[in-house]
Amino acid sequence: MRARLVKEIRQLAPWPAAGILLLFAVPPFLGTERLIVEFYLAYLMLAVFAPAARLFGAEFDHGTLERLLSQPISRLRIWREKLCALAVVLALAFFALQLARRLFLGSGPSASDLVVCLAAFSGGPLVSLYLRESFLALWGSMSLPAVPIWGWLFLVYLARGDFHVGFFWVHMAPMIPYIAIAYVVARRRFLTLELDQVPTRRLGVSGWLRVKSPSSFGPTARLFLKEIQIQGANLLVLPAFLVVCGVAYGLALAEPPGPGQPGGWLSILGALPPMRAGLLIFLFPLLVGATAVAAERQMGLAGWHSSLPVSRARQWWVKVLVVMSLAVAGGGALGGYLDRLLFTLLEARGVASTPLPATVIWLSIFSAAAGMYASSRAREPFRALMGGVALFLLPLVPATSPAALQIRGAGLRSFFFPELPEAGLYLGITLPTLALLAFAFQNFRPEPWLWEKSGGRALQWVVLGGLLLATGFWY
Amino acid sequence: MAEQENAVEVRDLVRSYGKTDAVDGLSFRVRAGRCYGLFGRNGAGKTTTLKCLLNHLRPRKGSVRLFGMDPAREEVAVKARLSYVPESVAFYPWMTVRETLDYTASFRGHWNREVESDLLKRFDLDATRKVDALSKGMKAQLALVCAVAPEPELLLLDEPTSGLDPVVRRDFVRAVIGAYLSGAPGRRTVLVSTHLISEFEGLIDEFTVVERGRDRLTLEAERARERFKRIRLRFPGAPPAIPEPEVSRVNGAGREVELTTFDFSEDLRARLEKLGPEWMEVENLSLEEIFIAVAGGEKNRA
Repeated sequence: MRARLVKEIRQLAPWPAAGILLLFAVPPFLGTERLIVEFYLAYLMLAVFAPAARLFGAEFDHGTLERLLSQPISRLRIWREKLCALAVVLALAFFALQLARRLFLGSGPSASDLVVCLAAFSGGPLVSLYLRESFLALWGSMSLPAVPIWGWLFLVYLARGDFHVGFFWVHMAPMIPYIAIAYVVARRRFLTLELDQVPTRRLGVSGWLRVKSPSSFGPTARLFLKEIQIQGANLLVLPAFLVVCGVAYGLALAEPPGPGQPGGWLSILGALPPMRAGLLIFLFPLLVGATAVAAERQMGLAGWHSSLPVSRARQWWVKVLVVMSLAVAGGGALGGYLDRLLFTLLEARGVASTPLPATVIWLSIFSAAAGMYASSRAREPFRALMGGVALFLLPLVPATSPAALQIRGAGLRSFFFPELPEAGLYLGITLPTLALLAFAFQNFRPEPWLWEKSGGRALQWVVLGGLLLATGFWY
Repeated sequence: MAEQENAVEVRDLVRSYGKTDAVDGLSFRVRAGRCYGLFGRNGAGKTTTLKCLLNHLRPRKGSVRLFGMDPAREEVAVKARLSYVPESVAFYPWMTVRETLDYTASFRGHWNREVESDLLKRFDLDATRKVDALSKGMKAQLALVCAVAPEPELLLLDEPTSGLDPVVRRDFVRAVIGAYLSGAPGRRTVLVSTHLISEFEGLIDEFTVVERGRDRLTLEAERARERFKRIRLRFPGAPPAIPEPEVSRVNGAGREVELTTFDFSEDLRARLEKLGPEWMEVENLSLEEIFIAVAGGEKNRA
């Protein structure tokens, strides 16, 4: 029993541990209360949703569930022990957050934090047991609460006839049944789980992407198709966002909030991170970048691909082109315009008519490069995503310091990254982007030109850390 | 346990994935104390069958019983008496070999530390090494240690030697499985699914050849060796046609003919002698050759 609990805690602990470390280390450097609150959303992703998604997701990632279910203890007991470990980890994450709120914001316990933790506690296992991996389960478990919330708001609309009902996580009404139902369904799913040869997440999506291109197209065309297929599941994120944001947009047009009225339906955009279009600007490129190399490694295809008679450089540039195209189109352009559109609708400021600043595009490229670098080192996309998020956040600490905020202009209402002045853009983002891509390529090569044993990895970290922090201080 | 009690019993098992029937009416039974082979080509349904035995998959039709129990209803009682080595071995990458063994032992009521220690030495596995740093073959060895150390009554092995080098493979089959079986004769059972049959030659007591999810042939190994023979004949002139119904394969080269028969008898020998060969030799077939004759033959009725 003890060995099993230790193993479960060990499996879940790294993410909350890193989150708690950042929780107390970062806020002193953040300039405003709002930024601290926004930082807490990143904390919730790292310390609450990530372990919840890993509870079963990691067993699928490592291929260890078969061994676990072959052992002579009941599935019910395995379920209880795992959930017990998750409860301990989430309780620690919750109390750490309450302590941080008191220290940095002077506020008391937050009921919404408790709701988020409970939603992750039941939603994380549920989604990971269906998606059979932790990478998409993280995203899915953060997004799934939107379903009961939208349902609840619809009921409120039927009852009251208007949309102007303030709504946040703290309102327990729809979340209590969500938490209970998700728990029951997840438990049932685990107790009756069959380890059949279910196609991986890629196959379902790649089915419609699989193009029977003639062999005369050559290996490069094949490589492009393969890369798009690998990114298939991530591409589903975009239509999901479009639906959510489209609904919000339609509602805002149909019934804009009057003076003094609560934000109503649209206020949930502030409460549910995955539904904020601004997140697309960096999160989508991070997803795409994190998948690029680590997904192949996880599927056991990396060695086979390296044996193909196609140069690693060509394979790499195909990856870069696909990732960057998706990042710019999906993250920068689509995310940027959606964010500005909703910002205009919410705060009635005329920013949607102005051209999208180049920063947004550069930010997407930078995020994708961070994801690709993390992906070149990670054995699975989940770790790559987490590493990419950490790399992305690194320059934000100095960039969001009080001094930096003085030069922050109004405009793009991005989630974390302030509106950067155009001056210095190229040095500020281009250099770290190029460094990330160069080091990622060096990790991708069969024979790295920086030897691991001679401090190559340390050199990478020093150069990247220096460039990223310098980027932050630059602004 | 009575010596002849069935450790495993599979009856008319049907299991499909979507529209594909992975197992389609498979039946066999493994008596306790025996080493039983489940032979089949890739995709024949061997792994699916083992997963049904472990309640990792539920049969669509038919039934499976281990020690007379339904693994879906009495899962823990069944699994307490068996160990399983899957085809693709996986461990938690952050654990050391020692931690992996302790973690696995935590599930068990009985764990023989002496057996564990002996096997670690035999396989030259360093207990302090991280599992992530082990080679594929070493991971397979560790999986075997985890499976044998609890001294279960039934060992389910799914392609257990596929990741091992020839030296270790031989050692594993002869020493580990042999020692495991002789540790409590008549009480310990091995059900091995493999297509690397030659490794288990001499250990297998009985086997079933699975083809497209169905049992094509079930025989005791000794009986199979009696029935399946290779017959070489040399004729003074051009060989005559050999229309014997028991003959599954005919290869000819010059005046020599090589036959494979699936039902050798003295009667067949007499009929062949009447064809007037100047020389005739009858050889036993190995289990692997029998499998090839059954699963790969054109006229392989048995």
